[in-house]
Amino acid sequence: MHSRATFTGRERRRKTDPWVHAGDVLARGLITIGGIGTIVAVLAVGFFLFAVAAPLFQTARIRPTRVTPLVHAVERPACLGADESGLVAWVFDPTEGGRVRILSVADGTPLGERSAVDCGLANVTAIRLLPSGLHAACGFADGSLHTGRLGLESSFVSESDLPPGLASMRPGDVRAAGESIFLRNQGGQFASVEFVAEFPGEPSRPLSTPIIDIDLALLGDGPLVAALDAEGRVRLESVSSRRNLLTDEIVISTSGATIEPTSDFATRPRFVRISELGDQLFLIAATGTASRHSIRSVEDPEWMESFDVAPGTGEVAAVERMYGGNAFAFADSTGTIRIFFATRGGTAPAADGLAMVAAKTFPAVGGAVTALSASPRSRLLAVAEASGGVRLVQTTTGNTVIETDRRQLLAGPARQVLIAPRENTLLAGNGSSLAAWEFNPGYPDVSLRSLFGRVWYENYSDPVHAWETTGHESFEPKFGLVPLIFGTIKATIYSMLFATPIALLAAIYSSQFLHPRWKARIKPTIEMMASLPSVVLGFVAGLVFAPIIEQAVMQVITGIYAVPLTLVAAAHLWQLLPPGLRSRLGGWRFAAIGLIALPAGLALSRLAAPWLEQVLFQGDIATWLDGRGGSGLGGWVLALLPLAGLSAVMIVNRVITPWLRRRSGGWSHQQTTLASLATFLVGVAVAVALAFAAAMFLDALRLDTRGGLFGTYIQRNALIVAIGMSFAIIPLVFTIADDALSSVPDHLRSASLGAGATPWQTAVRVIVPAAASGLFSAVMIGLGRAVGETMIVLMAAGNTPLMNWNLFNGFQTLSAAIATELPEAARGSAHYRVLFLSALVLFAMTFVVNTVAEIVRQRFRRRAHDL
Amino acid sequence: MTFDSQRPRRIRSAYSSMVAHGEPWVWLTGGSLAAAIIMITGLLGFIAFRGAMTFWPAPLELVTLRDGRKALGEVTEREQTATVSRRLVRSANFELAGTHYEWFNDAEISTTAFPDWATAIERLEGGRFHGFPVRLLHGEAVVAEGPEASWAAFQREHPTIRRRHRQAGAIDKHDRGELQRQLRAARLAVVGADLAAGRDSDRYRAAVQAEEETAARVAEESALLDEKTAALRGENEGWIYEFETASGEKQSIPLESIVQIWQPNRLSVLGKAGVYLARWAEFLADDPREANSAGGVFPAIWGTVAMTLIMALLVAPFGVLAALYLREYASRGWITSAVRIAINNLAGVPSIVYGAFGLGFFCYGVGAGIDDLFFRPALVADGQPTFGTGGLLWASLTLALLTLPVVIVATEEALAAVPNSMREGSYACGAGKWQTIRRIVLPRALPGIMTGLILAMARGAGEVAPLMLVGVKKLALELPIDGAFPFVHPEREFMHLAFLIYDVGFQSPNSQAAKPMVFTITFLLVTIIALLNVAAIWIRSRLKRRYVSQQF
Repeated sequence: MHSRATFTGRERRRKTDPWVHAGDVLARGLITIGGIGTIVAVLAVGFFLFAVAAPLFQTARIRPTRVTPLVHAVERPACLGADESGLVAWVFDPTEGGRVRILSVADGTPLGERSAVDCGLANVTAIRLLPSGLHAACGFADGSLHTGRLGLESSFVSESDLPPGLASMRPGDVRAAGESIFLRNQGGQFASVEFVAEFPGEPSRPLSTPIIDIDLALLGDGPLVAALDAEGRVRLESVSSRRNLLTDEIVISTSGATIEPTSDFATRPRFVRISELGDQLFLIAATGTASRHSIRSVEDPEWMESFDVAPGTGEVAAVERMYGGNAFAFADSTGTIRIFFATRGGTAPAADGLAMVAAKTFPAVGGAVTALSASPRSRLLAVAEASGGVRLVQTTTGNTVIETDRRQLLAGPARQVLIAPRENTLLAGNGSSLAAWEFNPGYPDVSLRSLFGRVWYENYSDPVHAWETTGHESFEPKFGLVPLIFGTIKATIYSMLFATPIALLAAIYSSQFLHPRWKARIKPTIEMMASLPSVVLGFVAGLVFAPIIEQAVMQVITGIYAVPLTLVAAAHLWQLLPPGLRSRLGGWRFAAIGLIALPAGLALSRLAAPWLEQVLFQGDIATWLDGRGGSGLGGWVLALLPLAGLSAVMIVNRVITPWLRRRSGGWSHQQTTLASLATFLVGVAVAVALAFAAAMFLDALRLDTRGGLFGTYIQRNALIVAIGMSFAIIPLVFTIADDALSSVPDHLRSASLGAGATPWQTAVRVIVPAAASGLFSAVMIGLGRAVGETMIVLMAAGNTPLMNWNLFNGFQTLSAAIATELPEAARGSAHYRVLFLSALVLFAMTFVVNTVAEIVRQRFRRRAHDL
Repeated sequence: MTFDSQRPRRIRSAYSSMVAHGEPWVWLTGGSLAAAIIMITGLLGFIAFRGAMTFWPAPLELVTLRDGRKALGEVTEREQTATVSRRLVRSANFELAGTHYEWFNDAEISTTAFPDWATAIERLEGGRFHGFPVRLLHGEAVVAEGPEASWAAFQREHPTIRRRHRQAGAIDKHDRGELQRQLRAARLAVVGADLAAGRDSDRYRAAVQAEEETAARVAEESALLDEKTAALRGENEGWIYEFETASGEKQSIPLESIVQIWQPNRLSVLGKAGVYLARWAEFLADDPREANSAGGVFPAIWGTVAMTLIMALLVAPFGVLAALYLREYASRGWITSAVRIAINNLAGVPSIVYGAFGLGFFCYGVGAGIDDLFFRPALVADGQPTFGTGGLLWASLTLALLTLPVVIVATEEALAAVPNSMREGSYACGAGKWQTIRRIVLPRALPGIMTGLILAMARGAGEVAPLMLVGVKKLALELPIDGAFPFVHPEREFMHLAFLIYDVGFQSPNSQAAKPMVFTITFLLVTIIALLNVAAIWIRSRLKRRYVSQQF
């Protein structure tokens, strides 16, 4: 018998139902997987941000593809070009009357050849190509010049239009089929490539000796050409074509001027360059002497200034106009490269207010520079050196992006370098061969130094922190996170200065002095406010408060001082009431504060504002803030009043109170309260006197708050943000602080009161110290919210990435920049990744703040538990 | 040893006792609390007042200036400074005056009046119109002349005309939209066949044929629809209400384009209430007009609700799972407490950071992957990503992630609040762990979980910064949940009330005329969120009562 009889006679199952077991196991498995998965997913946010931002700091990659031996020398005016995809290259070979050779970059296969005469390039001595639209200018041995189109033109071909047999090409393949060249680019699209050499009309012949250098700029109505001949004369020629509205004919008109060599030059100029906008012309001699001419009027060039592009002993070896057309790179025979651009201001500006500065210098690496070439789509510059190396430098950040391995290269230095239009291929050629590299520059315009340090951007007079990410096509993006971080900090500090005192003091009152019945109503109201959407606060701050406060700046400033003062004064008046009446009215104290004292304070600030404005700011604060008129006195008084107030409190506590204590032994209630009121008035007088004295002293030192704490008033500013943000922060900080204060064990409070301490003494000396870490944590959580707040700053801060502490000026925060710019940023671009980096910075900032708050809070919990 | 101190006892002075009470400091703290309350209730009251007042028909004042100029409009603001007192009049008639609002100095005004027949009209296009009715025309024929007669005739004709207009609009929107969808589906099928089987396949040929058939059918059907709408619109054509502005200019307004019309100076309070309710109804049920600055916000309400509900559906199971794991299954150790700190932290991470994550991970990562796998035809045919851009699903997921810490923390606290004695009792009765959790722990933790969930919904409904990155649009009349198969369209972009506040308030070309609208939207949003909060409190107290009474 294996089943034992039980007392009741009923048989009981002693084993758990297998279903219950199965359920347990299943639930455990599911919950563990789901739980861990969820937690990992939430934590993955930070890692993902990091993963997107990380490629910004990857080093660029480069891979040599091939060195192709060339039969003929590529020397001056040798010319090197590539098609859009970087798969087909052409070189101009001036020997034997000259010819154009077209070849495949990948394997060097010849794809075609054209004679110079066919192309209109016979006897060419100088060629200048513009990357966009194949525009070219040529100078010839007889001093004539000609503009037109020259280069490889590619057009996409659909798969069905390909010649038979070519559809099987793999990406990167190039085939010649009859007269045409077909290729399949890395994206898999098919394209046909055609060599174009079109020089319409007859060349003009303004000069008589061979042209040694030529430059070209495309202006709205036609090309502008500057040609330099062997005798140092420069011919400037603008060709404009206009459609005659009546006859519908295209009228081509040329205008121009000849610039004779000036006395600045000891030797003849060797290079000529014009700016992309066609308003500046530069002449550079091999010795480094350069002159700048204003050519706003083509017929009448004006000399502006002379400068030295190769100080020291070097000779100028190469000159290149950078992408964007504002900056020029000058390389000398010692190997140093200098980037010059015109800045406004400076120490000795020319007649047009500009001065050329050597903003960046790249020291020599591998001997003399033999060739320079600017990228057609970014501020990358390819540099060929005498040692045979080629490197890529980024002229905004000053970084060297890539250096090629010297051994694998051409025999001897490159005479020509070229960055292909898509920035994926680098070509270098010399007398014997043509070398090609595939490369990926990564994100050369971003580096840790450019993100967090000062960068000297084009046309700026000195290095700055700047954030500017959108502009015209060839604009220089400025990815400096410092202005955004500054804006975030500014928003946080001003908001916290405004909100924290109110929230903490309110929490002290509600936890220590407020009647529980009132508290039960007031606390949920304020808590509910914490879930008010920030877009609502932003709207109210930006569109409702901003215009009102603009009219009432002085009232707001006065209110900050007048309201607390009125409250304290009202407290003294309350003390004057006879003790019996006062204790009977005790329940109405909060009503008296809220309904009488506070409105009285607001009314006082309204009344006192015009008077204060008269005394401190000569009657108009807006003009004063603009810096027009008035001394710095008023600003200092406002800025120093809090400090002076604290000093006055100290003086009263140290000097007057002990004195009164000794004297007041037998005083009546009336006498004591009057003495107290008198003390208060004396304290106020002391504070004002101190503030004025200090302000006068500082003003006498010619120091001014304008330009620092104060400045021109902008409608959407830090004050508006602080007020708007306080609606979000006060409920948050108040709730947590109130919880911390309320959770201090009651026996502490009872003991303190029982020992004879007043409620105020209990609150300040027992409760607040016991809850200090909870209060700290509340402030930190408020700080975290302020750091990350988006909509309020987006709508009320004006969104200009400025860097000043002016309370009345706007700023841009990290969060606002992400919100406005991320939807527009191209996926995977530097801009996109920098914005993710900003998100990561924001994440890190709030994570640190919140972790500190959390650790402190856990400690507080333990401590509260121990009590 | 004596009990008495050796030092003489300090004589208690009246002054030090008064200082000890710190009355001024108490008042300072009390003032702060009062200031906080006044700020908060003031803000809510202000929003409620301005938001609720937008649709109340304010009287139209006829202002005659000393130089003879006249303007008719609502006085929206009065300003009194030391030197000048002036009023801001919403004079409307933008196409004539070039402005919606105008300031008038009281000194320049000769007379003001409230004429009975002053009429305010909300038009389909061109904003508000203020004027006096002159006559009602049908083509060349004058139907009624003079304010009274024309008003009566108008009241008779207007409802039918509006109905026809609405019918035509519905045909354009729904029937034609459906045809467009069919056409696009057929075209995508062709592209899909091309991608899958190549052009030389039977499938491709069949798809091409199907497309041709569809195109022919659609052309036929849309011709029918054209006829229908042309008939409806033709009947409406020619009905014109002629008005005279305050300055005497005549303006003809087609009856069809009159959305709302009222004569506030003639209306009784009851009549005003009627207009008020009608305008609210339009606001709640209609599509927006004129760059969202007029009309209704129905798509935005729908979008907000759909997004919030889907978010709640996503966040609830995962939040509860994570909390159950942390509280009931994970072993206590430094890892769990580190995870807990991390989750508490994530509750404080700025919402915009989640937005950036959502855009990069969901839209550009997962979404682009889905597009590549399942929606290649659409990607190839017109380069339009389906899931690879912002949409309802991604927005809900992003917000779910954002609110997950809130739910986890709330659930954990609720689980922790269930006394261990109850678990132990359950185990003692022979229940398994899962049985205990399901039957004992979860029911008791439910109030806390619900509260956390509803608070998460309240936060999700008001959050807009991340949505700007992952799927909210200025204008998206195609609803994310509608009657067309498959009813829920997780890939569609949607409108959102909170975003509408930002958009209408800050991007609107005429921000002053749009401001009342923004206040109303704000009022609506705050009301929704307040209701959610109140619901949370109510559920908490109700469930608490139910379970507390069961406690032993």
